[in-house]
Amino acid sequence: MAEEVRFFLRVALFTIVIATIYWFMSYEEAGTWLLAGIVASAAFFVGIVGVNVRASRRGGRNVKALLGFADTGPDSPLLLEEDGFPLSSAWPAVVSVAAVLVGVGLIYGAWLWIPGVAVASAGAWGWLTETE
Amino acid sequence: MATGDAAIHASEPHGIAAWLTTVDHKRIGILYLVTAVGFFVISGSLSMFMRAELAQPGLQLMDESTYNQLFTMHGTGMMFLFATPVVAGLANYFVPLHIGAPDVAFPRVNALTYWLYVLGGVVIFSGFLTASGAASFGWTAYAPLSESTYTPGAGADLWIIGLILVGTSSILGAVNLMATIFGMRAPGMTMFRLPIFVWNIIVTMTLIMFSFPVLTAALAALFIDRNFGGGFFDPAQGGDPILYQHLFWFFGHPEVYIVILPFFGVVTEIIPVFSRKPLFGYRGFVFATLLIGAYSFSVWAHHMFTTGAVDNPFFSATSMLIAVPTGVKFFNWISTMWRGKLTFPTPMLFCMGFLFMFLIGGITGVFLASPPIDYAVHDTYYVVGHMHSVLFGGSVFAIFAAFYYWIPKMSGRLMNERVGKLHFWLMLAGFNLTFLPMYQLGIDGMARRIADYPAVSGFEGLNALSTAGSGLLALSIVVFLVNFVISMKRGEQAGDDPWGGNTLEWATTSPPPPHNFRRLPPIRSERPVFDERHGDQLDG
Repeated sequence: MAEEVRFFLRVALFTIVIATIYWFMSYEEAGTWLLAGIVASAAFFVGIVGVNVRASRRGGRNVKALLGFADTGPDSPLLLEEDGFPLSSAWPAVVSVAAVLVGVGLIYGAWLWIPGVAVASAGAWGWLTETE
Repeated sequence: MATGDAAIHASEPHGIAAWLTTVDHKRIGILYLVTAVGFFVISGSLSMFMRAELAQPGLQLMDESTYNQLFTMHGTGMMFLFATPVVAGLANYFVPLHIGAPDVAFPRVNALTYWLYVLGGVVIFSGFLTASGAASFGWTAYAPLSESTYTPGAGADLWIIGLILVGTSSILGAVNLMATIFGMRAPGMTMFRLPIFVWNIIVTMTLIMFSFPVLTAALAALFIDRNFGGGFFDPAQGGDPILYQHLFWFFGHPEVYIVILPFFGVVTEIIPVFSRKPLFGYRGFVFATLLIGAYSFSVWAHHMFTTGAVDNPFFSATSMLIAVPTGVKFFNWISTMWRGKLTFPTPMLFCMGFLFMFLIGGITGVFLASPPIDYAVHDTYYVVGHMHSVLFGGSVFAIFAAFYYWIPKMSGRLMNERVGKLHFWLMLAGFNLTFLPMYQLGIDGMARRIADYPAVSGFEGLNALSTAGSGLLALSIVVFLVNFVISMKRGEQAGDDPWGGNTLEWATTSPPPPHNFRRLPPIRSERPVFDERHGDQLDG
């Protein structure tokens, strides 16, 4: 089992033990449910990380290619060939301005949150249609 | 720097627009760090006003309401807008470098996290511009004090909305960094070859993913109570104020580890370099970190001992147990230095300051984990002293260690050593003068979060001492800022590896080119740069 999966599995198992002890010592509901939430979240990550690790192992050397490394021998230095990462985008800033407008609009009224929703829609569209 | 690298740097986009639209992890890291230091200066300035007010009995500078706003915004600024974002800044810049990746997994989401953080911070502080002033219920916002009946006005609502934005930023950033570490490690970089800093970031990001949603839920419920007639925390409507405390501290205590574990990682990167030895007990250190992270979710209600509504023996036992893995780390650090070839440039000095100052915070924390002692000093200045020993003596000393260690990599220039050492000694003296008197004030019975105290209380001398210390602390920060500005203009060229480092960031130029590496050394241990530098001797 990959260490990444084991990591979340340990969290889940440890929290199950803690939650059980806590419940039988206190019979307190809020804390027990919160601990149960941690167990559920950790179990979710065991599943999702497990699936991803398995997929990347099946891909084998594709991980190297994805990162842009030349296919060199096991003991030689790794050479970076090229990369496909974006260098700039205005849409993250636009979306965060929209989030502020919507949030503050909940305090001051629709004259703020309606434009906020419009800007958020424009930002999401721009983000999703932006090419690398 | 090689001509090829100079050409690469020249091809980088320049100007304000380039910074506003950047999705490069290094630039976003720098933006985080500069903004966080800005909030540190603002929040620290608020504390200077508070210390000035407390220097002697009587109300000299402000009324109680203003004082309440100041300590609320000081705590909020330091916890949410300085300490946590510094973690994000350092992790953004150095995690991809440490694992040999060209960037983070989701560069645009990374930019979104920065903008949510900075705009959320502006929303929080904009409360000062409202008629009712900024939020004034303390950074914990306990209900029912934080309900609209007792704290009316838009300042409190802006605080809630701003924190929800900042919290969302933290959650997105945590997912992004986890995806980066799990999915983008260079070939050869197995989990147990990761630098300790990266392991600490893994645990920290897990804590963020599991704890910040709880805070967001609590704040959303509080906002609904205040604005839409909800009754989550209002006993008159069947709500439960103790539920708010459970939710807040289920986030709040892991938050303490969110702002300390990464700096355990920083110190653990620096000490072996200046001891000229490998880290003692790599795996033990990793498992101690995992254990601290796991335990941090089982200690939340030690903040609630005096409510009488929680199981004190359970939380007392778990709170004391968490000292064990922390103690393991101290033995790791000491054993790493033992018989090493020790040198003490400024980053190492700050690490030494961290070890001693955090130890004070840790030991006083064990005392507070004992309910009888906690009942005696709850809500007194003893707790303020303990908290600042952990978060200032621990986190802030290690933050400056990180700055002096890594600014040469980020900028290509070394910070001035002599001025750096002056900064360290001023900060060490100022820190102890400010916060050690608070322990005695707490034991003597001085309550926290008060703007005034009676002249006959006997608190005057220690308060004057504490205020003088805070002046020294402020001076030390001015010395750092002056050192930074002058060093960035006239500082000595750092070269690629000024310290003889172990980890991959030292295998590239200072500053690194876009997408970080032109080549990587083979990765066969947690010290690939050391292995390459001394490979022939090791093979022999």
